[in-house]
This record gives sequence, C-alpha cells and structure tokens, in this order.
Amino acid sequence: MTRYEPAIILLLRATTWGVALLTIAFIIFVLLNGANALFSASGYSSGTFGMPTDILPPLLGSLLLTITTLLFALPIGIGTAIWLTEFAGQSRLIDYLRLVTIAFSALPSIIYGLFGMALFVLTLGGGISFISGVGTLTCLLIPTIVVISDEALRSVPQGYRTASLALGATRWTTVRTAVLPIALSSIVTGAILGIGRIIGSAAPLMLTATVFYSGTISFSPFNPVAALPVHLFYAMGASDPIAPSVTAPLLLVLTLVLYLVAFGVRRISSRRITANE
Amino acid sequence: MNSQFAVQVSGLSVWFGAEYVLRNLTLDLPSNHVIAVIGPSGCGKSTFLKTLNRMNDLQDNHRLSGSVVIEGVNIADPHTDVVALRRKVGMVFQKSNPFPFSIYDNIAYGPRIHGIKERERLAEIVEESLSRVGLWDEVKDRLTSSALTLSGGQQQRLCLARALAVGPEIVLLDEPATALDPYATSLIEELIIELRTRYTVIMVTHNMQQAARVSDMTLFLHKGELVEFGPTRQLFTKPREQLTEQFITGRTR
Repeated sequence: MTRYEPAIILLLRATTWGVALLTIAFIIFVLLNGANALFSASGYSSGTFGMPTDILPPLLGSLLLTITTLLFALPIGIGTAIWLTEFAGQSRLIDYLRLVTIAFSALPSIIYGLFGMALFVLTLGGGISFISGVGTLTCLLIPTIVVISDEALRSVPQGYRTASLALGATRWTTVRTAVLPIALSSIVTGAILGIGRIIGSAAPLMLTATVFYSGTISFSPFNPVAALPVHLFYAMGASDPIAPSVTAPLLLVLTLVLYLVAFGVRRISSRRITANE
Repeated sequence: MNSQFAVQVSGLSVWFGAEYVLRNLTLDLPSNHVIAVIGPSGCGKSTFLKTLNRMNDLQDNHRLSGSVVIEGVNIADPHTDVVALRRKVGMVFQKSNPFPFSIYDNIAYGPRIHGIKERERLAEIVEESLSRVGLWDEVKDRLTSSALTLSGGQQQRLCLARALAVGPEIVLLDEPATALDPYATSLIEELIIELRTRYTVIMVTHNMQQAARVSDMTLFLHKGELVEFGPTRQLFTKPREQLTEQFITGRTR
C-alpha cells in the first residue's frame, strides 16, 4: 500500500487546494460583480417589470426570518438532543427516532415548504406571512440541529458524566454544568450549518411567507415579508441585469456576517473549556 | 468521625440482570482506616465499591438486597438521597477524568454544584484541596490553565483533590494507580496513607504489594463472595483461608 501513498497524499492536497481556490474565486467573482453593479452609471434604481428598487426589505426580511427561526429551532433542537442522549436511555425506539431524524434533516426544503403551506398557511390560518415562514423554517431546521447536537453530546466522554455524578450532581446538573459546556462548540458549529441552510432557502419561503414583490417593510408578523433568495429568484426572471448582481453578494455578505457572529459565540462559549494548549 | 464503623454491610447481594455479582456479604469497615479490596478480575470488587456510593444505579439492570449502613442510614434503600450520599462518599476512578476546564474550575466544580458561590470560600477550598493532595505548590501559578496540561499522575491527584473538595468522609478509590508510572504511583500511595487521618479510604487494587504497603485492612473477594477480611499484615502473612493464600501468591485466580 505504501507504494500509492505519495500519490494519494498528492491527490488529497490537490483537492483541498482546488476546493479552497474555487471558493475564493467564487466569492471574489460575486463581490466584484456586485460592486460593479452598485457603482455602474445606471445604478440600482432601474427596476423593470415592477421589480423592487430597494434592497432593504429583503435584506431585513432575511435577517429577521433567520434570527427568529434560530430562536425557536435552537432550544427545541438542542433540548430534543439532550433528551435523546442523556435521558431517553437505549432502546430500539430511540435508535429508530435517530434514524428518522437524520432522514428528515436530509429532506429537500421544498417538501418543508409544502408541509408549511398545508399546516401554517392553510390549516392554522396563518396565511402567507412572516410567522408562517418562521414556522416552516423552524420545522426545516430542527432535524439538522437535533442530529448535530446529538452527535456532539454523544461524543462527550462518559468519564465526565461519571465524574460529575460521583461528586453528587444530579443528572440535569451534570448536563448543564459539564456535558453541555463541553459539547457547546460542536453544537454552535451545527447552528452555523443550520444558518446556511435556512438563509438560502427560497422554495419554502415562496410557499409560505413571501409575495412576488413587497417593496415596503412591514413590521407585523402576520404580513408577508421579502427575503433575499426569493428576491434573487424573481430578479433573475425579470431579466433585470442589475438586481441579481446586487442581491447575490448581499446574501453572501449577510451569511458571512451571521457566521462571524456564530463563531464569536463559539469562541466565547469555549473559553472556559481549555483544551490542550 | 465519631462512630467506630464507617460502613456496616449486612446480607448484601447484588445482581446484574439474572447474574449474581455479590453474594450475601456481611462485614463492618472501620473508620479512619485504609481498606484494600482485592480479588481476581470479575470478583465484584468494583461493584462492591460502587454500591457504597450507588454508582451502580447508572446501570439499568442492577438490583440489590441487604443493607449498607453509612452514618446510621441504610443507603441500599432505593429512596436514599444519592446526592447527599455522594457528597459523603467521594470516588476516584481508574482512568483519571479531569474535566477539560481549568485546574481551578475542576476543583470548584463540586462545591459550586452544591451551592457555594462566594469567591473567597471557593478559593479557600481550592487551595485546601490541592494542598491536601500535594499539588498546590506545583500548580498554584497556573490555576487558570487547562487541567489537561497536567501529567498523568498530577491529573489523578487533581481528581482526588476534586473529590475531597466536596468534603467527603469516605473516599473510594478504584485502582487509582494502575495507569501511572512508578514515581506517580508512590506519590499516590503516600497520599492514601496520609488520607487515613481524616477519611476512611476504601481502595480496589490489583497490586498485592500496593495493598500490603498502604492498607490497614484487606478484604478478599472471590466470585462475589467474601473469602476473608482482616488486618492486612495477618491476611498477607498468615491467611486463614487456603483460597486467600493461593490468590496472594499468584497460584490461582
């Protein structure tokens, strides 16, 4: 086997660099295009086909949708994972539940869109609105958060739990003061992946939360919202050369900003966890 | 400790599923002694130890009968307050398991979960506990660095200090020196001998020399049954039972 080793290592190195360069090239391309469009003479006000001229409503809409969804999905998802790993014990049913959760986390987002439309928009009478969108995105995100938190919690060595219990901690205290802090940085990584999944979802929002064009900002959760990916989708259809060039980099920048916030949270949260230095 | 016996065991049997692990043990463990528990692998030594702080509860299929009285309370009773019990009966495990927190936070963990919040009091406990295991001078300048930066022997002493920080009266040691080098082992052994003045120490060990060096009393278990319990010197030099003699001389398992 050693005969192939140099070749394999070379291949791995090439793919790593390839992926890195491709990503960087992609980001630069999108940002350059965006800057070009922003500063071009025509500007970003040449809306055609009734397209929005203002980028603020979808930007704000996406931000609020993402943050509100996280507020619901994180506690529910992490709570479920805690129950699964720390309290549910071992049984066929629990194994089955895990499997189903993984399957759900891999479901295409349009399925969640249809489900959200049936449940939140029609059955619960939420209509096409911000809350219907948040409900749908929450359903979409929970399985991902559960799967990743479950994995993170299960990778916390059993020895930490026994140590804590032997000191007289209850099981809940053990989870709260030892297991969760140790698993937190992996859980935040999961949340970051979750942000990526919901912020770019156009399909579920188009069915539940957005209308074709909403040029104004509504602060009522019962009204439709605008969102960047949906905006981008319609802008493409409207054969407006400018709008996509501006929207795409904005979506990219917004995602990056949210990632940075999450990474900051992870740094702060893991400060107490001092691994091998 | 004012009572003569730290632990009084009578008619104790433990099962895992349908299998007997301990069979009808009756014995009294004297206070402020080091008691070694010896016997071949699978004889129930660890199970016996974990009965004393109810850590066997973590296993679903475990069942016990008989009584184990610590300070007048039968802790074999399923309604026992295990939190209170585990404050009184500390434990150190074979594999050292410091939390991936700072040295300070490791020691403060126990006191904190039991509601001690004042900084000065915590600092006091940390210093006292670390001093008691001879670690204070080694780590006092780096209390905020990770416990995982310590050597194996230091980590095990840290775990002992962490157990002492909640103020136990009985300390259970489950093969505390098996994973350590000879020097770290001798440090731990010296510590165990010192601990006797304040605590009752019950220690499982596979090392006969270690049992002979540090313990006052030795308990020999075989297939879940109590074969012999007596002063260590007598048990090792003039064992009453043939099985004991065969075991300590390595002729049977």
